[in-house]
Amino acid sequence: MCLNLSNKFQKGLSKLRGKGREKNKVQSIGKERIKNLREKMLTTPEICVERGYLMTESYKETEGQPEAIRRAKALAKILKEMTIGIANDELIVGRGSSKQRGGLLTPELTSGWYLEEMELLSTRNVDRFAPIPKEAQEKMQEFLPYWKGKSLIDKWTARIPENLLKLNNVVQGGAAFCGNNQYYGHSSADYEIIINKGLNGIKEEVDEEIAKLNLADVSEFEKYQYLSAVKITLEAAAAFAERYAKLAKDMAAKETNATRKAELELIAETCKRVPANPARTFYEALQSMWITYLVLIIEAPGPGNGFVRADQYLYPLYKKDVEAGTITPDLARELIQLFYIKTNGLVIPYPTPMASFFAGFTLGANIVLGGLTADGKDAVNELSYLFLEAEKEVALNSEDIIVRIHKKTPDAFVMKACEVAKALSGKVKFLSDETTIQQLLKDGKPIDLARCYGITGCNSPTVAGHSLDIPGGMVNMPLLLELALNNGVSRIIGEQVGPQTGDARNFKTYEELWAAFQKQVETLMPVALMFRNVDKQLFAEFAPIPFQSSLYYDCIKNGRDACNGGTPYSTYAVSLAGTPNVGDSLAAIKKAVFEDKKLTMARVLDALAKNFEGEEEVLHILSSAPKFGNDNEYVDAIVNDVISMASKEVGKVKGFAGSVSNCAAGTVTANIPLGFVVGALPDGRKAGQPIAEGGISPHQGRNVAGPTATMMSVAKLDHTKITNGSVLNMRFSPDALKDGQKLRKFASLIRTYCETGGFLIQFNIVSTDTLKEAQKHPEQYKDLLVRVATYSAYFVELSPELQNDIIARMQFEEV
Amino acid sequence: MDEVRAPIFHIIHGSFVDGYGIRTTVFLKGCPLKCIWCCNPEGQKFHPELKVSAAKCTGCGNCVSVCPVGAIKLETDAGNVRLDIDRQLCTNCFKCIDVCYTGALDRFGEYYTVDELFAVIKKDEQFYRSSGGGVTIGGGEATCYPEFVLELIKRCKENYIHTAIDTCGFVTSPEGIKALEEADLLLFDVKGIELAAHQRNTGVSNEPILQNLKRLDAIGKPLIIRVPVIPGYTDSEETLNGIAELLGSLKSVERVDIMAVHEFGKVKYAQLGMEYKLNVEPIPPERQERIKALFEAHGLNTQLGG
Ligand code: SF4
Ligand code: SF4
Repeated sequence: MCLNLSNKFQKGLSKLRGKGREKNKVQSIGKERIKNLREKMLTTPEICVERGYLMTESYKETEGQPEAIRRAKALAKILKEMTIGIANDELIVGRGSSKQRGGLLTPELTSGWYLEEMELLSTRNVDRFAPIPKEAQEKMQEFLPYWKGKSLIDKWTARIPENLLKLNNVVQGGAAFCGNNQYYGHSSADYEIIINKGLNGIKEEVDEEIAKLNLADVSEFEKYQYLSAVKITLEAAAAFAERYAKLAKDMAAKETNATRKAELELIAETCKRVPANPARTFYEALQSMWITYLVLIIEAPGPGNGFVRADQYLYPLYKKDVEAGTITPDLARELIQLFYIKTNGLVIPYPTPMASFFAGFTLGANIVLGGLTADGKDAVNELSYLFLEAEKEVALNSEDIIVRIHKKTPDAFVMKACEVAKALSGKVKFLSDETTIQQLLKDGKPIDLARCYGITGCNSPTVAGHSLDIPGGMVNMPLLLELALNNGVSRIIGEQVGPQTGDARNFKTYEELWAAFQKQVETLMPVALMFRNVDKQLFAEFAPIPFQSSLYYDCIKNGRDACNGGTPYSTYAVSLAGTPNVGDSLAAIKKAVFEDKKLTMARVLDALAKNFEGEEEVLHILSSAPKFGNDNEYVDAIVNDVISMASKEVGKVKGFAGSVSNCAAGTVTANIPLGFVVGALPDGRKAGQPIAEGGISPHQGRNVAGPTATMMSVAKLDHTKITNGSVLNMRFSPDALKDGQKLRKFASLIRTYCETGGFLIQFNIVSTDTLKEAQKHPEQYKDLLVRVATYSAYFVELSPELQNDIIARMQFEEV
Repeated sequence: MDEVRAPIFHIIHGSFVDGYGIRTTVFLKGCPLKCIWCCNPEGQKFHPELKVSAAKCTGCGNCVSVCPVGAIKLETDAGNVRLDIDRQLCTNCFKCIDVCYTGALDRFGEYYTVDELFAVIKKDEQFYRSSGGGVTIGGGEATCYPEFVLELIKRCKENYIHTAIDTCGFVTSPEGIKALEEADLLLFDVKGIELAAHQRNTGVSNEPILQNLKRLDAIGKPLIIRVPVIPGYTDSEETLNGIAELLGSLKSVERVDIMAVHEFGKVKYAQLGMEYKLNVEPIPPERQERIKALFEAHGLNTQLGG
C-alpha cells in the first residue's frame, strides 16, 4: 500500500480498536464474502420481464397524459412493484431487476425482436442469456404487442426519409440508439448532489421552482408539468429504498445468525435513511449512490453511465469516518469491492445484429481517478489508491477504472495503476489530462469545470452534473473510401450508396482521389448526423429522463430535461470508425500509384474487385507502403487529414437542442460487423475482415516499430478534432513488465504518451491465450515482440516449438 | 561528397532492456566475433543479406527467373516445393525480393546516413527525457563503423540525448576506441577470461577486450557488463568466478547483467542459410540465482537478464 497514514488516522485506528463492536456500522466483510458475491456475477444472466411488463401496464393506464408524466409514472410503478431481493452476504443492496444478474426489457425502444429472438437469446454466440422460462415467454407475448408502432424505433423509421433508410447500419452503425435497444446512457449525473442533498433536498428545490411559476404562462406551465414528473420520480426512488429497508427488517427478524442479523438491521436502517437524506458515512454514501444508479438505469437502461470521480466526492466522508475511527482503509476497500461487484448485476439484451457492436455485457460503470482539482492542483488522495487496489480482486466486466494522468500526478500513483494494470492483464485505462482538458475547452466548457472532467462510456469526456456528452453511431469511414474508389457503389451490397464521384480509373492525381473521398464524406456524413439527431429528438419527445435530470445542475431551474437541452453544456458526437484503414489505404495509393508509379489505378481497382485473388503482386506492393502506427509522417499525416476533414463536416451543424456536434474515434466491438460490409481495401485488408479496432489504434498488427513509435503516431494526431474521445489499444508482453525497474519504464512510457498529446490508452498485457491466437493468425499479430536484452524477434516468426516454449513459460508465470 | 553510411538491420522504438530508461536501439550490421551462441546472426556480416523464410514460399517460381546468377532453385521433394538458395552464388542484389509476394524473401539490413538515422532517433526524444533513456547503438559491433558512430554520438550530444554503445569490446582501431570513450554508457560483453576458450567460442582473442575494459574502467566510463552464460561454453565455475573476480576489481561497473542462454536466434540461422551449432538446455532458475549470488559476493550490483 502506498498510503501515507496521517497521525490523526492512526489515532482513529486505535480508537476503533478501543471501542469494540458498535452496532450502527459495518463490522467486517472479508475476502470470502467478496469472492462469493463476485462469483455470482460470472453466471449467465437471466431475462427479467418485470420492467417491460410494468412499463406496459403503466403506459396503458396513462394514455393521453403528458409524456414526461407518463414516463415518471411508469418508473414509479416499476419501482413499486418490481420483485426485490437481498442475497446472502450482501451489504450494499438493491437490484435493478428481479434477478441477481438480470437483463432488462425496454419495449419502449424496440419490441418486435424480443419475440422473434426469444429462443435465440439463449443460443446465440454473443451475449447469451439463460433460456427464458415458459411463463415469462407467455408474459412477453402478452404485453410486447402493445408497443407495435409505438416503440421509438418504429417512430424513428417512420421519420427518416424513405430513400435514406437503407443507409442505416451501412454507412454507419448504431446511430439510432433506440434501434440498438439502448438508451444513449453516458450519464454523468453528479452523485455529489445525492450524497449531499438527498432526494428530499432535491425535492425541496423542485417545490421552490414550482412555487415560482406562473401557470398562466404557457412555457411556465410546461415547466410545471415537467417538474411534477421529476417530483414523482424522486418520491418513487425514495419509496424504492424504503422497500429495501422493510425487506431487510423483515429478514433480520427471521435471521438466527447474530452477525447477519446485525448486518440486516444496519441495511434496514441505512436504506431508510438514504438516498432520501444526505449520507453521513462512507457506507451510506455508497448505498445511496447504488440505489440512485439503479433508478437511473431502470429509468433509462443504457451503457456507460458513470460514477466518474468517486475518489473526489467520496473523500470528505471517507476522511470523516477514518478520523472518527469508524472505518479502516481495508474496510473501505472492501466496501468499494462490494460496490464494484454490484455494477455487474444488470445487463442489456441487444438484438443479435447489434449485440456484435456492443458485445460483452458491459454497462461501463466508470470510476475516474486522480487528475486535477477545479483549481488545478493534484487531486490524488488516499481513496484514489483504494479504488485502484479494490479492482485487483474484483476485475469483473462492468466497473471500469480510468486513471487521469497529469504532470502533477504523483509517480507513486501512476506506478500503483501500472501494477494493477499488469495484474489484470491491462484492464486499467490511462488518460491524458492535458489533452482532455483542451478538448473540453474547445467544446466550450470553462477551465475550472474542464479540470473536473470525468469519462463516461468508452472514451467520452464530460463534466459530472454540468454536461451531457453523448457519442453517436459509428461512421464506417473505410466504406466511404470504398465508395470514392467505386463511383459510389458498395462492393458488398452492390448498390449505389454514395454519390457518383467518377470512375476512379481515370483519377490522375492523389488530389482527385481525395476530392472524391471528401465528396462521399460531405454527402453521407449529414445522413449519419440526421439519423443521430432524429434519435435524440425522439428520446426528448417520448422518453425524457426526469429522474436522471434531477442529478444535473440547472435541469430543475430550467424545468427542462437533460436530454432536451436542460444541462448547461451538452455535446452529441458521431464516431469515426476505421480511420487508420482509410489513412493506410490512401497512403498506399498515393505512394504506389501516384509517386512510385509501380501500379496503375486500374490495376489496384481490379485487384480490389477480385479481393486480391491472383493479384499477389498488387497486394504485396500496397502492403509494403507505410502504415499508421509506426511514427511515419507520410501516412500519419494522412490519417490526421481524414480526421480533420470528417470532423469539420460533423461540426458544420448543431446537434440536437443546441448542443455541440463533435466527433469521436472509437468502435467498441463494431470494428468486426462494420468490416462485414466493406470490400477489399487498398491497405491490403481483405473483404469482410474487421477494420481497425478502437478508432485510432493502428490496424491489427501493423505497428511493428515498437511501442514509442505507435504512441507517437497517435499522440501527434490533432485530438481537438475528436473531442468525444478515442481509444488506443496496445499489446504488451508480460515479460516486458516483469520487474520493478521495467514497470517504472512502463509508467514513464504512459506518462510521456499522456504528456505529449496522447489521449486514452489501454493495454492488452498479452496472455497465453493471445499467443495461441497469434499462432493461429500470425498476420494479425505481427507486432508482438519478444525481447531479451540485445535480442529481438517477432513472436510470429519463431518456430512453433519456440512459440510453445514461450507459451509454456508464460503459463508458468501466470500461475 | 560521399556521405558516411552504415547498414542497420533493426531499429526498436521503445526498448526497456538496452540500458537505462526507455531507449531507441539501433542495430548495426557486422561483427568481428562469431560467437557460437550468437542470437543475432544477421548482425555478423557487414553487408545486407537475403532473408529467406522458406515456410512462406508457395513455389511460384518468380524469384528463379529474375535471379541474375541462378542462385535460386526450387526442388520438388515428396510433392512439396523446397526453396534452395546457393549462398555462395548469391550476390545479395535483392532482385528476387521485389517479385516475391509471399514474404518468403526479404532482406536483413538497410543503409542509413547519420542524418537519416538521427532523424529516426530524435522521434523518441520525449520518452528519453521522462525516463532517463536515450539511444543504444548495438549490433553487430557498432564500432566497426567508427566514423558513423562518432558522428551519430556527436549529433546526439548536441541534442542532449544520452548515448550507449552495446559492444563486444573487441575494438582495435583508435577511432573505434574513441567511439567507446565518447558514449555516455557502455553495455560491455565479457565472455570469458581464458584465452583459448574465448578464441574457440568467439573466434577471437579476448586480450584486446580485457585491455579495453580496464582502460575504459580506469577513465571512469560507466559500464553495464553483460555476461552470457552458455552451458558447456562459458558456465564453468572457474570461468564465472574469474569474470566475477575481474569485474569486482573494477571501479566503474554500475551493473552486471547475467544473460542466460536462450534459443530465440535459431530461426534466423535458417533464414540466413547458416548452420546452428548450439545444442544446450536452458539454465534452471535456481542456478541463475546462484550465479547472480556469485557476482554479488564480489560486491557487484547484479541482475538476471537485461
Ligand atoms: S539476392 Fe539477387 S543474387 Fe541473391 S538470390 Fe536473390 S536475386 Fe539471386
Ligand atoms: S518468389 Fe517467393 S514464393 Fe515464389 S518461389 Fe520465390 S521465394 Fe517462393
